Amino acid sequence: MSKSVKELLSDKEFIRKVEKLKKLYPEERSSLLALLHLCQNEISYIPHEFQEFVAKELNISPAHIKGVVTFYEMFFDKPKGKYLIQVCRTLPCMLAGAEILLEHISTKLGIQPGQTTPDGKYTLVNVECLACCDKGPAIMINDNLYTRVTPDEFDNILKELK
Amino acid sequence: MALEEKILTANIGKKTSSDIDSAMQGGAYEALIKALTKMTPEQVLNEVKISNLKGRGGAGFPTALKWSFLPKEKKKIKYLVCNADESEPGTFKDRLIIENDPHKIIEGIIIAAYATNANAGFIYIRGEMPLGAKILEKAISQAYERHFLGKNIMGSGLDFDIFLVRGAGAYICGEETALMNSIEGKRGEPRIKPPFPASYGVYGKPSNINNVETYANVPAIIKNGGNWYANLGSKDTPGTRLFGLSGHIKKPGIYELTSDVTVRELIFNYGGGILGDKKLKAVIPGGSSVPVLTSNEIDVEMDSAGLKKVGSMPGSAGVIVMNETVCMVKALLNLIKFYEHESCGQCTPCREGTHFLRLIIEDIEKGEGKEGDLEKILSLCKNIMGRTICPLGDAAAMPCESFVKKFREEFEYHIKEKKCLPETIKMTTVF
Amino acid sequence: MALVLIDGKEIVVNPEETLLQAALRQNIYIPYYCYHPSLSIVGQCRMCLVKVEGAPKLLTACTTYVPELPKEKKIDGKYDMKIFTKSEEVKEAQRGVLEFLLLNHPLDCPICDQAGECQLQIYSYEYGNSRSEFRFEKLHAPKRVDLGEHIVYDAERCIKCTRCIRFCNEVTKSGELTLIKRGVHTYVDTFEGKSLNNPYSICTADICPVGALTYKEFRFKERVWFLQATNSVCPECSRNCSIRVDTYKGEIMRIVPRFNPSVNGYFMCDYGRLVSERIKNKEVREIPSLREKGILEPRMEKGFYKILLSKITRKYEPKDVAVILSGRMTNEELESFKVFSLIVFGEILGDVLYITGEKDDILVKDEKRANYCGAKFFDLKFTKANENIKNIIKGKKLVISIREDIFKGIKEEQVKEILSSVEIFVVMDAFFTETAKMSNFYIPLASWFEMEGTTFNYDAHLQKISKCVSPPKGRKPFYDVVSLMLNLLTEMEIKDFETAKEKEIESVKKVLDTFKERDVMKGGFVPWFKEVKNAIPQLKNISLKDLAPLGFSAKGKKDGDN
Repeated sequence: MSKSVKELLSDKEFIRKVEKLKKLYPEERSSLLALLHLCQNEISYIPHEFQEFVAKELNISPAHIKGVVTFYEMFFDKPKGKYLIQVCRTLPCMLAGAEILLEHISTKLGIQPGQTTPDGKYTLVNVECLACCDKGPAIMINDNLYTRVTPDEFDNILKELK
Repeated sequence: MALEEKILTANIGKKTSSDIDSAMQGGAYEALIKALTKMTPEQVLNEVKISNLKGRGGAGFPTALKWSFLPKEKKKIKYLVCNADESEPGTFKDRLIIENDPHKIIEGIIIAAYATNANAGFIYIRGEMPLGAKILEKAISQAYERHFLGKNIMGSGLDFDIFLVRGAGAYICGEETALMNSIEGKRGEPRIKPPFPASYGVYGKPSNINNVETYANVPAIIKNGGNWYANLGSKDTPGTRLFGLSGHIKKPGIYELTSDVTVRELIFNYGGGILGDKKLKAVIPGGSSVPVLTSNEIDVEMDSAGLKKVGSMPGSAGVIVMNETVCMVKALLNLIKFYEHESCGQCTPCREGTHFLRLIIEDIEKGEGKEGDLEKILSLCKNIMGRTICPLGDAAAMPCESFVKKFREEFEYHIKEKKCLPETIKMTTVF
Repeated sequence: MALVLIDGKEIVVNPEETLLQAALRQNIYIPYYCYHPSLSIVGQCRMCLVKVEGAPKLLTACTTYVPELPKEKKIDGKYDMKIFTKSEEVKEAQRGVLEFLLLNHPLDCPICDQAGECQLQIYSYEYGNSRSEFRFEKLHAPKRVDLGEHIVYDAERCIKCTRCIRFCNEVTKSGELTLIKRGVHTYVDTFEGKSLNNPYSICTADICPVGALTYKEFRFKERVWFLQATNSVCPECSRNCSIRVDTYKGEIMRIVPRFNPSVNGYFMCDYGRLVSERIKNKEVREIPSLREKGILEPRMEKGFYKILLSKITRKYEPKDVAVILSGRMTNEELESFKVFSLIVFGEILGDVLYITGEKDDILVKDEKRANYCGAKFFDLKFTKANENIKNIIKGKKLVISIREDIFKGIKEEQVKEILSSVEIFVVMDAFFTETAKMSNFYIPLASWFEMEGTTFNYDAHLQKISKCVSPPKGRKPFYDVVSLMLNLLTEMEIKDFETAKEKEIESVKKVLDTFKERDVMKGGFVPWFKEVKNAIPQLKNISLKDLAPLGFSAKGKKDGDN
């Protein structure tokens, strides 16, 4: 079970990471995306409390942070499953069979793109081109890229996920 | 016949090519040392100018000319930006360089910094490439260790830092000013131009931005001279390019070739022909944003001049091949969904226009198309093209216009018969 | 400075202004949505696309600057740019933008508050397609969203021009608003728990070109085409924001800021704007009232004033009299007060109650009444509010309070104690206030929105206030009350009141009688000043030069009148 945002913000190690990122760039505001990534890596999404915290840290309005979080596809402001299954849907992968793969995954997990399994383990999303068009269909599960994913291959990958 | 010169992919395939020792065994940083010790910044700029290197991001703008737009005053803060936000559908060449030969990019950027007197550089890598980001991060820190980055690099007096910024999922951030806004921690919305980045870029400071592949070409140019490069392959777009083959092709992948290769050679000689031994139906030659070609239009070279003859352009050199089993309505619907999804929403014609196009194309695809829909698509394209803040509007309209114009009969069949052409009912897939 | 030929007309474009700004300045209209003169330029709506000769694409006039060409490169030997705003290509682009904007717009004009003043309606009529096909289901987006205490948002009507967002980022610098999501799903939102509650929030509804942002105080109140507009001035602080008061059947429906570059620019604060709502809840009494047997009873006007005058005219030593004046009094009222005081008490009395409060660095001033500058101009004494009320009244026998609710919030026993020495307590106010209820004589006055007059702002900027609604017969401007009383005085025989004064009365009466017709703004400041000087002996030694520190100029400032 991942930490609550409260625990996260009182974790000294985490705050040290925040301080380090803040100083990383010529101007502090450039660390915003990195800070949001950091939070999402730790607790799988970016809750409002964290957005408010970052707003204070960087002296930016919370509304601005919300605008940024909702703009970028990779940021989630609501909890998602332990495994985020991102299926590329764009033309080269579609030509390779992405639609068949997506349907297979959808049936297998019993969820539609945008949904999370009731046990909170998997969230399925459609994503745009992952820049591995020669090896489609491509999917990413959390930070890991899988290429040439046939339905059978997906079943094998799924078995590895705990 | 195209040349298979290995400029960008020389080190690729070696086991530890991303490690600095291995890279240096392959000649990494030799060009930088040459530039810093034996050349003036003006000479470096001049070599790049002679090389006639054109930007590899999609627009094909002459690189040296772009560099020369930066103010010359030494005291002024200037930034270099490396666009590693590769997300144009059909394009996967930058990933190859980033993951396999990151030092080539870093070296290219430092040489550019020397030529332009820039103070710092940003590499903006797309969020969906966490591995690439890790590799670049390590490569940058190795470059610092060897004193290729930092204060007074190799005793040359050049101070230069590189910062790595990770995106978070937005195609539009590949647009230079949207990318700069993203570096500044903002929504990735393109800025109005002018002012151009050369006068108002990152943090409002003069900035130059080039694609990964563009920077990666610089070391070879400095090492071998501009003339050597200018004489490689196409006059119009000299040097090699990383052509990415995807779709219905037997041997998909990256091919490093000079731009005088024809579309046909690329598909049939290098790519091994069409998947499923079917007929070729269509090719998108330069990433999804450029106009599509029919199977009759492939005997042209892959440079600007060649593709111009058939109404297209080389873009990012991502070649998407479609065989006869592909329903062009479905393929276009797939693309317009991409642009609708990636429109930042700032300006009216792109925000609403991509949505409008999707609705009509979706109707046609579902068999609910109406008479006049094709005219409507063409008029919408006209109202989007050239009317938006950034090129995303054009990028969405160009495929729509070319698909409808070049495959009009198929679209009309779809509207009239309310179904796919018989041969496109079951599309070839890789499995 | 560049010379531009636009649709065959010559205009001058300064280096710091865009083509759109220059065209608008020179009365050439180019349609636009996202541009606003007091906000940063974003070039987003694409409505102002124009054809620039030689340019491959249409350009947005709002982002185009015009550099001066060298002589040999000038177009037709003369021009730095040639523009066409009505060519077929431009018209097609305008139609295109409107078609795009209406694609997901709910077209709910019949129930939309913006109808009648909506730029989407106006441009659709002027630049749009007469025929359009919308067979697609419209995208649904949040509706009736409470963005803050006053503002309601409808994302379906929103055209994403971002004026409201830029307003909060650039003018109030409070940053409550943002666009969220992207593409066609973009809409305006606030952060959770941080709503749009800055002191200028309603301005976002003003600058919203469509019906996306409306404010609760005006929502569903009246169709705008039934409203009658009157220009006036906000009474709520010494900024004197220029306003337009919209009324319907004698009731104020809303107040909106009126552009005045030397006073308030394009905006006004919510507090000032909502004065119309606050006065609606105030108790009024329309007939002069006299306390008899402990009860304030309405009286016939003439008889009332005769009793009052017989009890106060030259009956008290000036030292026994306290008059509390207000910065809510117009110049004309202050002027007539001096006449009144001189004649009735033999000298000019009066303490202007000086009320201050919070200020900001946008518009709100710390002086909480409109016309303190006018009171300074008339050389009246100022007393800081509240803590000194007691001291002003202490030991006095006659107290007159004009347009100030001096006992507001003070307990009745305490008021009685403060008034313990007072024999006659006269209150003149537009509202039947807590103070009024303690008086022996209550005179109802016309409110700020019920009379003509002039006021000086903190910067001595002179503006006219207008009768936006008519007061009921019994409520009069203070100068009319004075005029009435002076008329009665000439008829009355009052002991110890020298008949020699009659002459004086006659002469000032004339001045007062002209108030109704006289228009200071039109006649100019100087003739008015001379007139006032002649009427009021104490002002005889003051010259225009003495007024310079107050910011007066001989010509008087007149902008913002229209």
